Amino acid sequence: MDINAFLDMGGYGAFVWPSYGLSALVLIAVLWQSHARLKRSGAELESLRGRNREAAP
Amino acid sequence: MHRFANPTRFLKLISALQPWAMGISVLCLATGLYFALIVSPADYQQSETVRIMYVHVPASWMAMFCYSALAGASAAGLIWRHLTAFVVARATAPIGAAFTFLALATGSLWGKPMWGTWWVWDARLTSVLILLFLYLGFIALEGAFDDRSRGMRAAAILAIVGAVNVPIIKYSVDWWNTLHQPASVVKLDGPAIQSSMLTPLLLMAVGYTAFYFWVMFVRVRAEFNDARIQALRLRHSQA
Amino acid sequence: MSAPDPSPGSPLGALIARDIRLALRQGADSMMVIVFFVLVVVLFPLGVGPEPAILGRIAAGVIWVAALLAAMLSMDRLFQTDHEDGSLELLVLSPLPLELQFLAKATAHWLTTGLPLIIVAPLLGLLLNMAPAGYPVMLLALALGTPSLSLIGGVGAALSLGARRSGVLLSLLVLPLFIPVLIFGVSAVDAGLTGSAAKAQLLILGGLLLGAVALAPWAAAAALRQAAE
Repeated sequence: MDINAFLDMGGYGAFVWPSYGLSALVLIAVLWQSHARLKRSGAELESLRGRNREAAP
Repeated sequence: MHRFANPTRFLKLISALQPWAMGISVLCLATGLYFALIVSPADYQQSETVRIMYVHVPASWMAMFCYSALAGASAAGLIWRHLTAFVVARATAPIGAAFTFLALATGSLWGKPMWGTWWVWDARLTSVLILLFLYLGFIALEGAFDDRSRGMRAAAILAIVGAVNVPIIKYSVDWWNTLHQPASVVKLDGPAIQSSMLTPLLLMAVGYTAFYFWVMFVRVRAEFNDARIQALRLRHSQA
Repeated sequence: MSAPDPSPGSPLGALIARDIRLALRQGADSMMVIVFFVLVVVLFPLGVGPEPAILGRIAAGVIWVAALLAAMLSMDRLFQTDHEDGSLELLVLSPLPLELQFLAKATAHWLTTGLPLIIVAPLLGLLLNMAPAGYPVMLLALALGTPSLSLIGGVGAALSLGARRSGVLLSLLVLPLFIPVLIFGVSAVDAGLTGSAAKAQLLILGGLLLGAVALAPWAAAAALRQAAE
C-alpha cells in the first residue's frame, strides 16, 4: 500500500488526520487525567491508612 | 439497581467491570480504526473525507448518550438519594463534554472541505454546540458552591431541566435550520450507509461507548478514594 | 409576613402585589432593564452600519436577543433579598405551596421586566427600520415569549442562589434554555414580515409558555428547598 497516498487521503489529509489526531489526543488526555487522579488519591489514601496504623498502639 | 446504591458493592462491581470495558474499548477502537482508515472505501461524492464520519458520528452519539446518562444518574440521585448515582453523574460530565467538543471539532474539519467554511450553522452542529453549553453549565454549577453536596443537587436538577429541553432545542434548531437552509443540503451524515461503511462506524461507536465506561469507572473509583480520605481526615482531626 | 387567607386566590394575589411592590421599590431595576434593552438595540446600527435594508432584515433577531439579555439582567436578584435576610426559610416553610410562590415571583418579574420591554419594542422596531407588517406579530410573540423567559430564568436563579459568581453562572445556565423561545419568536416576526401566517410559531410559543408554567415551578421549588437547607 502506498504510504504517501495513505497520508495524502485524496488531498484531504489536512482534514482527516487532524480529526483522528485530535480525537485521539482529547480522549487519551481525559483517560490520562482520570488515571492520574486515581493514582494520586490512592497514594494519599494509603499514606493516611499507614499513618493510622502507626498511630494505633 | 438499588442493590448497587451501596457504595462498597458498587465499587466492587465497577472494579470488576473496568478491565472488560478497557479490553472491549481497545479492541473495538483498534479494529475500528483499521477498517475506518484502511479497509473501507472512499465515498463517491465525498472521497476520503468521509473517513472523518467514523470519528465524528460516534462522538456525536456519545455526546447524546453521556447526557442521557448524566440526566438519568442525576434523577436517580435526587429521587432515591443514592449518592453513588451522584458520583456517576459527576464522573460522566467531563467525559460527555469532551465527546461533545470532539463532535464539534471533527464536524468543523469535515465541513471545511465539504462546504468551504470552518463553521456551518447546520442543525446538527448547532444542536451539539448548545449541548456543550448544557454540559459546561452543569460542570460550572456543580463546582460553584462551597457546600459540595448543594452544588451536586443543584446541578442534578439542572441536568434534568436540560434533559427536558434537549428534544425541544433539537426540534427548534431543526425548524430554524430548514427555514434558512439553501435548497442543496449536504447532510453531514454522508450518503446512505453501505455495510462497508457500517462496520467501522459501529466498531468505533462500540469502542467509544466502552471507552466512556472505562474512564467513568476510573473517575468513580477516584471519587470514592477522595471520600474515604475525607472521612479519615475527619477521624484524625477528631482523635 | 401576614398569615395567609383561607381562600386560595388572595394569598397568591397578595404575594404578587408584594413582589411587585418590592420590584418597583427597586424601581431602578426596571428602568435599568429598559435602558439596557434600548442601548443594546442602538448599538447594532452603530456596529453593522445604518443601511435600512440590512437593519430591517436583522431587526426581529436583534430585538429578541436584546429582550433575552435584558430579561437576564435582574434575574439573579429574584431571590437574593430573601436569601440574604433569611426569609427564604420562611418561604419554604410557609403553608402556601412553594411552587405558587415561585409563580408569584416570576409574574412580578415579568410585570416589571417583560411588560415594559413589550411596550418599548415598537419604538425599537422603528429604530431598526422594521416593516410595519411585523409590529402586531412582534408584540404578540413577545407577549407569549417573555413570560417563558421569566419562568425559565427564575429556575436558573433558584439553582444558582448562593453560588459564587451567580450572575455569570446564571447566564450560562439559562441562555441555552432560552434558545427555543428565541428561534420561534424571531420566526414568528419574520413570518409576519413576509406576510405569511405566524400561527404555527405563535402556537409553539404558547405551548412553550404552558410547558414553562407547568414545569418551572417544580424545578424552582426543588432548587429553593436545596438552597434553604
